[in-house]
Amino acid sequence: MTPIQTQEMRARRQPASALSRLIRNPVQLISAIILLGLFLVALRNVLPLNGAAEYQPDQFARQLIFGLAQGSIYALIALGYTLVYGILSMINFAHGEIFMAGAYMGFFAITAAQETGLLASDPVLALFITLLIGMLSSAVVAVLVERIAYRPLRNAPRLVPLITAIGASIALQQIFLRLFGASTRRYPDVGWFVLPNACPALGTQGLDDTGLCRGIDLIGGRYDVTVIGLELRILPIHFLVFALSLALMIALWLYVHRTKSGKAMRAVAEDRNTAALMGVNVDRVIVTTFILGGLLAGAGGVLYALYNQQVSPFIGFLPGIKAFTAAVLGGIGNIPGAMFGGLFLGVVETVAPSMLGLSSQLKDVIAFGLLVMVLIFRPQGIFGEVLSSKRG
Amino acid sequence: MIRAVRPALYISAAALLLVLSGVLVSFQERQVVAGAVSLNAALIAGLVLAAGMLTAGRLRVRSGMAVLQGMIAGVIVGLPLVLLVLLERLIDLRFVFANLTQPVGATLLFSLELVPGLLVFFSSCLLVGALGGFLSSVSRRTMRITVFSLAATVVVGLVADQLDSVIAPVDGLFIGLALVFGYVGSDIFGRDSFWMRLLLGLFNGAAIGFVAGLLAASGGLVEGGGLRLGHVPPAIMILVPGYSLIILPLIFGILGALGALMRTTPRMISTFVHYGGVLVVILTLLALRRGFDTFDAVMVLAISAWAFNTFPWRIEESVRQFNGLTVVQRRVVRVAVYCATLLILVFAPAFLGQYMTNVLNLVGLYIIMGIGLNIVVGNAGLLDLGYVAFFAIGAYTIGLLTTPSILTCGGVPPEALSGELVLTTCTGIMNFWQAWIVAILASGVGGLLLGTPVLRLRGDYLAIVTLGFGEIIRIMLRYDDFSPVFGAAQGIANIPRPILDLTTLNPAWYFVFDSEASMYYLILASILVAIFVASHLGNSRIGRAWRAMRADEDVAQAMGIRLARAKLLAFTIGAAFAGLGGALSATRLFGAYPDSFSLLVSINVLSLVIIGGMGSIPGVVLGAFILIGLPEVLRELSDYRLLAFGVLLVYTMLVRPQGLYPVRYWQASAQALSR
Amino acid sequence: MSLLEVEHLHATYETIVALRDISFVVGQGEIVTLIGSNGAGKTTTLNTLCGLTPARSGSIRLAGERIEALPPHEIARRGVIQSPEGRKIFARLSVLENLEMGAFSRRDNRAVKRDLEDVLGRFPRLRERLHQPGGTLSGGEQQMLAIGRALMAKPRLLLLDEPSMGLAPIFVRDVFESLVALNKQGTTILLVEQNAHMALMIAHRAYVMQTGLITHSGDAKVLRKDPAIIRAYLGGA
Repeated sequence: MTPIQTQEMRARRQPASALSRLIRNPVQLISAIILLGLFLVALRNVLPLNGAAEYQPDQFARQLIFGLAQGSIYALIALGYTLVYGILSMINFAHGEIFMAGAYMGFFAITAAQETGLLASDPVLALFITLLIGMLSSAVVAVLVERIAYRPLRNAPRLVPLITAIGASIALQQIFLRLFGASTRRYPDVGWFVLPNACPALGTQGLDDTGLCRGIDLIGGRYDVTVIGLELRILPIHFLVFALSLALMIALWLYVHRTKSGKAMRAVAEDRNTAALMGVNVDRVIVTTFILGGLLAGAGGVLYALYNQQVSPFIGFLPGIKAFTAAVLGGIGNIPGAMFGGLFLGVVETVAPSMLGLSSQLKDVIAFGLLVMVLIFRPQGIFGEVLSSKRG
Repeated sequence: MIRAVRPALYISAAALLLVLSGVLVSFQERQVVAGAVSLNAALIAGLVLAAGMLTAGRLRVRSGMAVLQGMIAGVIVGLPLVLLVLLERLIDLRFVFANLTQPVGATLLFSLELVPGLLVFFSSCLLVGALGGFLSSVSRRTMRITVFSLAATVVVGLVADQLDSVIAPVDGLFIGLALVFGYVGSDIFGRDSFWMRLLLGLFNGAAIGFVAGLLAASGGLVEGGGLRLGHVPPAIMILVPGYSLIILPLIFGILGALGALMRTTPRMISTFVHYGGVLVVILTLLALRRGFDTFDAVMVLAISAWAFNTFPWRIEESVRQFNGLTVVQRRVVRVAVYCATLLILVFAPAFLGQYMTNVLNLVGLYIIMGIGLNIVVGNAGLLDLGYVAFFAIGAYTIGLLTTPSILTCGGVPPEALSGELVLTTCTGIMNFWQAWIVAILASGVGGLLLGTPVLRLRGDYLAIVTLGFGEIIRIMLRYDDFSPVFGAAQGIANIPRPILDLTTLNPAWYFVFDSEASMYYLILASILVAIFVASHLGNSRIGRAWRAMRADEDVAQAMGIRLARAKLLAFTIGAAFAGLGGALSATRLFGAYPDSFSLLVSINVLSLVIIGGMGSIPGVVLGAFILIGLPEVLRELSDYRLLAFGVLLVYTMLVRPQGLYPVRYWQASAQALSR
Repeated sequence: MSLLEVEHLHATYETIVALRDISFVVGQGEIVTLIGSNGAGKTTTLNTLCGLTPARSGSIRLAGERIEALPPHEIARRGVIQSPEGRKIFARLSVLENLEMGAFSRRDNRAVKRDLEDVLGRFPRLRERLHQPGGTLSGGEQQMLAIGRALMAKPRLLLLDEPSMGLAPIFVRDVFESLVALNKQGTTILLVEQNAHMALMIAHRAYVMQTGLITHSGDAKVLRKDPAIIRAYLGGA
């Protein structure tokens, strides 16, 4: 029976009403009540009762922009998780560290660019090289992890590759720690100026240290503007990150759906053995998957480091888990789902603490809480899982 | 070809990692053999040797070819390092590799100039590699003896100065004599009769004890006495001066009997006893001397070589003898083994001193947690990465119930109360024992709460969700707004030690567990209880249900096992164990601090369960000693502990997924002893 | 020299000994069928031929070249193509993409396009559903897709595993007619079937398998009349 037919059958077997299903399951009921409570709190903060609302629209707009940028990084990483899960039915726990590796190697690249003066003379080229090196480093690490730790365990019982992945993740983080030190490394300040004719509109904000205005600084610039009545602090880098990530995600989607290699990936993800019968080199497809995931994670790493301006061996842990949450949210194995999940998570995690009146210390709790909620209510994710017919 | 060279490549990478991470610089100071061999030299030599052996061993060739292969391995490991030294002259490596406090050249080149240094280094690599190749081509036995003896010498050299206070030379001497005479002497007359041998051992030991008693009574063993050896005062000899002529022969008689019994024990015990005994002998001899110089090294080398040579067949002989015993005799052996183990455990703090007892306490707490997690992961197959949360619940519960807190002060935060008011309002403060029970229950409930939403999750999702829960709990405990309850980042301080108040029975019986040694006994008792509970659970119906569930959930369900119930039980019981340990830990550290409940602890416990052997309680104990205890003793290595855990986890899954002490061994030993 | 020569093949599947000592040949241009009841080892035989299951011992020769140690994609590239049991089409890929996957190991793009037209001409219903996901097709259509996919590989040797399974009788007839037509155009076919009746109708030669061994072999027409075979596999007298 095909997966689509089984899905239909399963749907027919469910009891008619979602509400009756909810009431029957105490865990879901309690969680629903908690969510409702949170929703009410948020509502109270947003509505202008007794004067101005606690939570203003311009705060929302600012957080939305930042959330989208952060979320697109999560999406890039999430795509790596989802690709590997679709093909191997395992969580690549080490993926967060692969992200970190890209960011870290990017640091060396951009520092070298700074030392040789390239960063000052041709920032675009320097940034491009940094991005490239970050992406390639992550890809290399991903392939190494696959060959050393995952390939020998392709047919092992499910607990074994999971533990190996955890071990690989720890080992990677520690190797970077031991080799490159525990201290945080700072990405140098980059200035990428465009649109010099916008200088008059920028006024004093457009002046750099020497008192000149060279245009809008896409990387380092911060501009306070008022748009449709909202006071915003715009950092162009957020838009840049979002745009670049989107471009990469679209490139990935095109690769997977329009090229022969991508077709082979989808075939292997669905049924490894039959794909082999067609002449597909399954090992090579799996390595390609890891490479793609690595490239995206590396790009995410460099972009993340560019707007956070710091890297350390520890930056991989939290984004890694959150990106996995995003992948699950969208439906594991589902590429558009991972993209959506990442953006959604980024926005919610940035907006929710303020909207609920909590401190941003609890940002991570919200991300984890979201994961738990998704797994309680809809473990297959918003858009549904896309898994191999063997394990589906 | 690549496949054969792969071990050398891995070792080369490891060597590069060691050099670039600055490890070798700190190792340079550490002498393995005082004045002769430093740790970093030993390490590099060991790595090259291993590379040579593994490379040649894979190819299984004749001796000449093997040497060549070994040399190639030496090149593979040595060349990148040479290139690194040269590279260092061109670019500044310290910017990239921040832990490189000393130039690579200074570390590797034996304080020589560049060119001669490189030549010496490279040719040593070739030489040692060739040696490794050669070793792999000789008989397996010779190779095993050589390698193990060298390794033993290095390890002993490393721990020598920390362990030379393990046992006083005099104590060691006499204990050793009693055991040896019991072992050997029982042979003379009664080779074929178990009871005769036992009796002879008893007699021999008692004789030694009598002599010892005479010496003790005559005062020759105390400070200033002629026989005082070494710099550590004897423990046994001085402990019972008044009754030395009766008690000492009794004690040593038992030791002699034990010595006799050592010839007939099952495999695991026999191995432990033989090698453990040799270790004690070595440590006794070292206690006589200060430091560890070449003479000591040679002595240890010789003794270990003899041990590794003769012990295998002695152990086989012992096993054979054991299998020939009757049921009653086996029971005697079993009882003797248990008693001896108990004795060692009970008297350990007296011998080991404050620092080692501290280490043992840490190991013990991890054992308790490991036993708990073993139930969840090892038996039931549920990968719980947030296990530390239950440990934290246990610790904070004890903290909240035994100190003035919002729970014990009737809902009023204690900061708001002034000195005298604290006493009158905070009437809810419990003693340790009551709070301990509550802590265990609270953690159990926590396990139940965690387990309920995750019942239907797949293995990988379960891992991440539990990790999330663990992190949520840690963040909540640290959260500033919750500070009146949990104390935010400072946690809960001034947790009192347990007090055992039996003054109603006897006015003198008021014990405060305020020393590390007293905590040791409490932890030991808890471990014994935990092992008892866990092994009975493991052998019961629920234990079998868990194992079926771990193998394949769908099949288990089809066999009629109620998955939900089994999973919840596993989570709850596992959590309860963690709570037990958490309470003990909090009271031992006099406080509960949120930063000590990080993911790291969960990873530690997970590692020792998995590397020790999933589902195996002796595996957990072994894992705890090696993964937690060893880094505490070998201080240089403790920074690299996490890296080792990661690598070991991967290695274990790839090479030996059943762990160091698999369940099979344990079941076999248990069967052997109980038959 | 035959196209396919299998000698003393011995294979295990998980812990069960599936093939104990199998030897058979398939000549160029023939239709050879392997019949036998469930669990006889027929699917394992095909999987071992294709490299999915490793052979413990014995040899498999394709036009003289030994292929038993090659990985599956190498064997597929040499023209040994299987249409697996249960069809195993890629449900999430479109009909077109399924067919394109069939031609994965080929490099001659223009010839691939021509063959695509051929296949669609042969199975017009596939052209109707060209961009629909494979999972939405009916059983019979899926079988056609599976065969079409196999054809796209331009196989030297086409292996079919129970093509009639789960199909309504009218589709079964269609399928077997296509196979005969294919064979007339020169494709060598090794057919594994439980439906011994139809298989023996179209095959030139047949082998009968039982619990990992070959028990009978010979001309298909002869075996059709063999009373032992009739009793065991052809539903009695």
